[in-house]
Amino acid sequence: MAAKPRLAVFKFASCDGCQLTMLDCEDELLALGELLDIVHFLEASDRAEPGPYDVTLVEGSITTPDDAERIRHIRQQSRYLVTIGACATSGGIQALRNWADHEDFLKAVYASPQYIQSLATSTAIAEHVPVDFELRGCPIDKRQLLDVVQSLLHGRKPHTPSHSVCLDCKRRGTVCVMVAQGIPCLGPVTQSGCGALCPAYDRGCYGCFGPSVQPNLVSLTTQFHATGMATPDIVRGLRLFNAYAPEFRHESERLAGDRARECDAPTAIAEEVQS
Amino acid sequence: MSDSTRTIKVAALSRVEGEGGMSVRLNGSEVEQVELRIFEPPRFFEAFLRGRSPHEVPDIVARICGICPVAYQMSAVHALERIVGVTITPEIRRLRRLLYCGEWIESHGLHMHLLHAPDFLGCESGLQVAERWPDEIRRGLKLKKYGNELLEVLGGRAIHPINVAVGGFHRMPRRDEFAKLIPSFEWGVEAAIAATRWVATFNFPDFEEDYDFVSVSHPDEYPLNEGHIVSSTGGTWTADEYESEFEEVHVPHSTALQAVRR
Amino acid sequence: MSGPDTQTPVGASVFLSLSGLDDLIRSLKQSGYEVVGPTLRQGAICYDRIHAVQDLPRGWTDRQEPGHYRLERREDDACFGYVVGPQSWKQFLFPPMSTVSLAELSTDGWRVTANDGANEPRFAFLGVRACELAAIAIQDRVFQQAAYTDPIYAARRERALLIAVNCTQAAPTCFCESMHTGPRCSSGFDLALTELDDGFIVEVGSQRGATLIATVATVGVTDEQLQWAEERRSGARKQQRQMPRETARDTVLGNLQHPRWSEVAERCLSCTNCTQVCPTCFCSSVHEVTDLDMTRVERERVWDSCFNLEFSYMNGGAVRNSIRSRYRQWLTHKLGSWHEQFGTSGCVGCGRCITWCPVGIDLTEEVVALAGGST
Ligand code: SF4
Ligand code: SF4
Ligand code: SF4
Repeated sequence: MAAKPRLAVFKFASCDGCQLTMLDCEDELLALGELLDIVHFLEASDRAEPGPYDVTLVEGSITTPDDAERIRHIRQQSRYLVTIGACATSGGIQALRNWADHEDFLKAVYASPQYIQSLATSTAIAEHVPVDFELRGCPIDKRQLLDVVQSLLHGRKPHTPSHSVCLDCKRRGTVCVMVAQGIPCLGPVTQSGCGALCPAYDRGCYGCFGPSVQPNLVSLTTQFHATGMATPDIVRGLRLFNAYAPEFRHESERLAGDRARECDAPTAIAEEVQS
Repeated sequence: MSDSTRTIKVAALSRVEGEGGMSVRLNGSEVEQVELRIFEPPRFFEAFLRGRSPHEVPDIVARICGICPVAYQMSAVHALERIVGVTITPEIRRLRRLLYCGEWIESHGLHMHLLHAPDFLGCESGLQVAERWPDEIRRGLKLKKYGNELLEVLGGRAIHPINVAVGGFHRMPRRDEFAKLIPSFEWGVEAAIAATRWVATFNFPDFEEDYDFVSVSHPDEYPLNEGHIVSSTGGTWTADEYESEFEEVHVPHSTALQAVRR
Repeated sequence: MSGPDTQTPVGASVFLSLSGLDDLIRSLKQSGYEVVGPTLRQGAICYDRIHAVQDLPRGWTDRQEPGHYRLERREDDACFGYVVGPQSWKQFLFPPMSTVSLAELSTDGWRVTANDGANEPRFAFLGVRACELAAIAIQDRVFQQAAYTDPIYAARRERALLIAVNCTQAAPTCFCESMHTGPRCSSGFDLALTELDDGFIVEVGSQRGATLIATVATVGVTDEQLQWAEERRSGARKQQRQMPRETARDTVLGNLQHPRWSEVAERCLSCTNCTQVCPTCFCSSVHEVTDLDMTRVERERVWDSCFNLEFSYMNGGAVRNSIRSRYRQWLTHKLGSWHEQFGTSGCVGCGRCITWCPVGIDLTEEVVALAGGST
C-alpha cells in the first residue's frame, strides 16, 4: 500500500475553532489518524515536519506582512490547499478593520503600537495564493470537514451545497422566523452548511457560512427596510464574520455609502505569477 | 556573552491554544530570563466592538477563542446585564452554568487527553498516546463528546454557540432534549473519576515557585460564572476593583497583553 | 347511536362530540396509527404528532398576508379555526430526508438493500383541508405512475388514513375556489369533519372511515345541524385572490420573454421557500454518504428545488444560471407543463408560496402581469 497522505494544518489570524472542529470528530479521530499521516498540526501534535504535504488545511486570514509571506511558502509545499472557516475564506470578523482607521484600531488596543506588525487589512487566503477548495463556516461544520477530507482521499467532489439556509429550515421543519415572527434573517442569502441552526433556536441567521450562490442581497435588505429595520442596523448585520465576502461587502457598502480598503499585502495574488 | 550563558529557543509551542514561542536564557543552570512570545496576530476585538449593538456582542466575542467561546459569551452577557441593570432568573443562571459545564467537560477532555497527556507520557500527540493507552484515550474522547453534546442542546452547536443572549437564551431548551443526555452523563460521572485516577498516576514534577496566583472564588460553588477575585497571597477584590488593582501591560515581544498587579 | 353492526354508510353523516374526537384520536393510536394533526409550534400552526384534543390549537387562528403570518386568539374555542400553516402533509408522505438504499461491504462483496417501504410508518392525518386533498391526489400521480412508483411514498400513502376538515374561513392568500380544489372537501378522504360549536358533523368518505367512526360514540345529525354546517363552510368561500385557471397555462408558456420575468427576478431571493412549502412540489436530489473506511454507503434522498443553481447542473454548467430563469422554470412548470406531464395544474390554490415567501411574491399577481403583456 502506498504511503499515507501527509496532512498539515496551519493557523493564521483566527480563533482556533475551525482546527478544533477536527479534534471534535471524537468518533472519527482515531480512524482519521489511521488514514492520514498528520505531519504538521501544532494544536494537536509536536510534529512540525517540513513539506511537501498532500493536503494542507489553512485556518485564519492574512493580517501581517510575515503571514503574507508564510502562506506563499505553504502553498508551494502543498498539493491540495484547503482553506477552512470564515477567516480563511473571507477575512473573518477581523476584516472589520478594512473599513476602519488602522492606526486608531492599533491605539485602541495597544499602549505601544510600534511593537505591532499588522497590515491595515484582513483578507482571505485566496487573495494571496491559489486555493483548491474553500470550506465555509464560522466555525466550519464537522460533517462537511469529514466529507472534504474523504473526498480528497478518494478523488471525488466534496458535497458542500451552495444553496440557501432556507432549504435546510424547511427540511428540518423549522417555521420561518422572518415570516412568522418578523425577525430579520440572512438565511435566504447565506450558504447552507450549519443545518439551519439559528432559526431552529428562534433567531435569525447572521450569515456565518457566507453568501450563498447568486444571492439577492438588494431584495432582502429592501425587505428589511420595509419591515422597519434601519440602515445602520442592516449594515452591521452584514458586517459580521463574513463582512468582506464580496456579496456581503458590496451590499453593506451600497447601503452605508463607504468603501473598504483593498488588500494591502505586498504579494497579493493579482501580482503573483502562477508557475 | 560568556561561555556559561545559553539560550533555549522554542520557535513554536505545540498542543496549546493559540500561537506562541518561548526563549529561556540560562546562566549555568540558573534561569536568567524567560520570554513567552505570543505572536498570535492582533484581531482588534476591543476596537471593533465599539458602536456595536449589545445584542451582537455575545456572538462577536465568542470568536476571540473557538476553544472557550462560552467563557467570552458569559463574561459579555454578565457585563452587559450589569450595565443595563437586568437581573436574570435563577433558571437562566442554572442553565448558563450548565452550558459552561458543557464547555468545561469538553475542554478538560481535550486538554487532559489530547494536549497534556502526551507531555507526561513522552508522546508527540494524543494519537500516539492512543497507540499505547487506547481505552483511556477512547474514554477521554467520549467524555469530550458528551461535553459537546450538552453544548449542542443548550447552545445549538459546540463551537460558537448561537443560543446565548443578553438576558437569557434565544430559545429555552426542551425537557426531552435534556432527557436524552442523561444516560451519557450517568456513564460520564464514573468515567470522569476513572480518568482522574489515570491522570493521577502521571509523574508530576515537584515545582514550587514563590508566585502570586490569581483566581476567581465563590463561597458556595465552583466559580464558573460568579465570584470575587482572590490571590494566593491573601488578596481579595470585587470585579469592580480589577482595574484599580491590576494592569494590562504591553511588552515588545508579545501581541498578548500581560495582566499584572499594579 | 351507531354500533359496529349498523355502520354509517359511505356518503352519510353523523354527529361527533368534542370528547368523541378525543376518543377517536385514542382509538387511532390504539390501532397502531401515528396520529398527526395541527398543533402550535414556533409561532405557527404546524402538523406534528398529537395525542389528544388538548394538543390541537384550540382558540387560535392565523392571519396571513404575502410574506407575513401571525397567530391570533379567536373569540371561540374552535379546534380547526385556522387556515393552512407552513407545512403540508407532504413532509409525511414524501419525507424531507430518506434513505433510499444501503450498501455494505463484507468478505462476499457488496450487499445492497433497497428501501422497499416495508418499514415505513402508518399515519392518521387529522385536519386535511380540501386543497391538501387535491395536492395529495396530484402527488399520487407524480409518485405512483405505473412504471415509476416510489416505494417509500406508496407505502406511506397506502397506509395513511385521511381525516379531512372543511374550512370555515379563508386567508387573504387562499385561492382554492378559483382553482376548483376547494374549499369543500369532496373526495379523497376517509372522514371529513365540519366543526360546529359543540362538536363535528362527520361525513364518511370510505369503508375505512366507516369502520373507524364505528369505534366511537356518535349520534344522528339533524337537518338544523346540516344547515349550520353549510353556513359555516360558506365562510371559506369569500376569497380575495384568484388564479385565472383556464388561461394561466397559456399565459406562462406563451410569454417566455416577457419583461415581467426580469422584474420578479429582482425581488426573488431564489431561496427555495415557495417550493418547499408547496404541497405538490416534488424535486429531490440523491447523494451517497460513506463512512470513513468506505465499507458502508447510504444513498440519501433529500428535498431539493429548481431554485437552486446546482439543481440544473449538467455536464459542466448550470442550465438555469439566473434567478430569472429559475423563477420562470418554477412558474411555467407549476402552471404550464404540469398539464402535459401529469394532466393537471401543479397549483391547488393553498397560498402557501405567497405567505411563506420572505419577500411576499404572489404568483397570482405574476400571472396577471404576464397576461397583461400578451394582450
Ligand atoms: S472562521 Fe470563525 S470559527 Fe473559524 S477560525 Fe475564524 S472566527 Fe474561528
Ligand atoms: S427562518 Fe430564515 S433561513 Fe429559515 S426559511 Fe425563514 S428566511 Fe429562510
Ligand atoms: S443559521 Fe446562519 S448564522 Fe446560524 S449557524 Fe447557520 S449559517 Fe451560521
